Amino acid sequence: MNIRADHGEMLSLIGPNGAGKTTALRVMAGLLEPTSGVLLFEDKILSGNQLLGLRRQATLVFQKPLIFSTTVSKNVAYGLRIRNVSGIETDRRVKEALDLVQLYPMRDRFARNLSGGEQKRLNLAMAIAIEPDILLLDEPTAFLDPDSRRIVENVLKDINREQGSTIVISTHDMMQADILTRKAVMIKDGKIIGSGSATEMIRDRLETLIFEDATLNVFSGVAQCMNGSAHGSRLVQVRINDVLSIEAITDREGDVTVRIPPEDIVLSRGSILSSARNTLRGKVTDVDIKNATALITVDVGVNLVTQITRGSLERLHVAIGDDVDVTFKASSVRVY
Amino acid sequence: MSSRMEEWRLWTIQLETDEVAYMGLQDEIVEITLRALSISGLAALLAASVGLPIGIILGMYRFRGRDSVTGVFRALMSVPTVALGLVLYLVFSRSGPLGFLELLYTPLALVIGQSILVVPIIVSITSETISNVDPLIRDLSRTLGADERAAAASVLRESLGGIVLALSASFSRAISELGVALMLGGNIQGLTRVLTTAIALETTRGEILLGLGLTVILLTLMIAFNLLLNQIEKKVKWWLWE
Repeated sequence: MNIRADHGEMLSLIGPNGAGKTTALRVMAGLLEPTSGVLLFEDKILSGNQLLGLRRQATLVFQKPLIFSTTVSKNVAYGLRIRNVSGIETDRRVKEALDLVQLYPMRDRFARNLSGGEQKRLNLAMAIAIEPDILLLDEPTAFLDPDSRRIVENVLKDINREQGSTIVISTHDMMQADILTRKAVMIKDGKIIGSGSATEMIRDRLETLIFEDATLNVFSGVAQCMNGSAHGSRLVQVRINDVLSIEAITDREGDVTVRIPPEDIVLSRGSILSSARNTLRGKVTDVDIKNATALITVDVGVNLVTQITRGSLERLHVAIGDDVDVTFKASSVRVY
Repeated sequence: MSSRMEEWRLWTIQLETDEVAYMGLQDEIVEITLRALSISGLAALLAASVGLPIGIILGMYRFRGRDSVTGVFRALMSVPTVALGLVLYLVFSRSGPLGFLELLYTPLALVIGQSILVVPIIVSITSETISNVDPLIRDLSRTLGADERAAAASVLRESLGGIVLALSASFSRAISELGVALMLGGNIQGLTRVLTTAIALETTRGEILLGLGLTVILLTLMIAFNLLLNQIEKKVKWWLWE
């Protein structure tokens, strides 16, 4: 197994539970020495005491929320105290990190009293406060509510762009790998079974993914370029089953498969004015409530599933048979 | 007339001796209380200096035979105080192996006896609390940049509540036990009489009220001590994170 992450890159390790993703991340974080093979960091082999040096620059966010029994802000300050960062600088970075994960209003709370999703965001804040060169995340959005999930995904994109941190995430969800990272490595039983662009990998495995019902809102259609024949990604129109046409951004044309992530679809009563390119009207055919979220199926010619929070469901009073609008951005549509 | 005078004289003498007796009793109660506090306090400190390191090692490291060792300490927690008192009496008695130290019936013998009694409590509670801290806390500290020593300190910091509980339980057990104090100290007035031995003595002498009074003092002390310790724990916790 050979995994390489370049400077400033976002890489995902995809694989089922027990594939070896966590172990790979622990080695990369300098928490575990490889039983065989080597760990290279900036072209130097690291072992033993040198791992502390790596740990000062790389940090791992564990899959399970893990926090010290103190307040939210003191948890975030821990990594800075260890590094003897000055008090003023610590306060500034703690505030910044907590703002990013939207936990600043809870800074003086006892951290163990936060909800699971909030604790996981706190873990992310603890890691980004130390502004690591390498940020490793083990299943950063597993078991998260949709709001926390969105916050985490946005924070990761932001700090990769703004701080230029190298980010490696592990996930069992190919679709997430596709949304967050360009490069992906697939692992199974401790071996690499594929690597390259996440979108390509999904394209190759589309049949099995759909067969395994791994995802919702997958449709086949025909993509047609809307303006000229420019190269690279551009706006296209995708006709689905001859009943419906949506806009998407892709470099592909002809027969394609599209996926519209349920969490990216906005549900409204009556149309809303927005920059999103796609607005469709339909009837609610199913409402499926799961804990804090609800999956609403809307018939817009095809059955489109949208994911909203339970609070939104109660506010909108959506019931089966109601006429509603669904809105999503062209850039939200994944084209394979 | 003289008989009236005589009566008056006797009555004042009576009053004076009562007062002397009362003053003496009050002094003695204070003395006994202070002695109990210092003997058991020293015993708890001595036990902590031995028991905490053992508990920390047992809680933090996995090694062969660890379960047997923790098992033995757990079993020792329930040793009857008279049994321990008897064994130590034989050890410290003039013909015993440590008889030459001439410790029997001295306050020092009490300190040693009570600390042996409570070491298993400190070891067991400390090791149990530490081993119950999520092992990933250590990894969390390390991945945030801590070296091994700072990571171990984090684990201890997470165990603070249990360590304080171990200290409070051991002091409470030391000050409230009777067997060791009676057999090693002998309840000698002005030397080894502590609250529990005084309570036992006064009750057998029929001074039930005095016995009850001493009991109230003992209970008040224990409650006050534990409340104080709770406050100290909060302060220490705040300070550790500052």
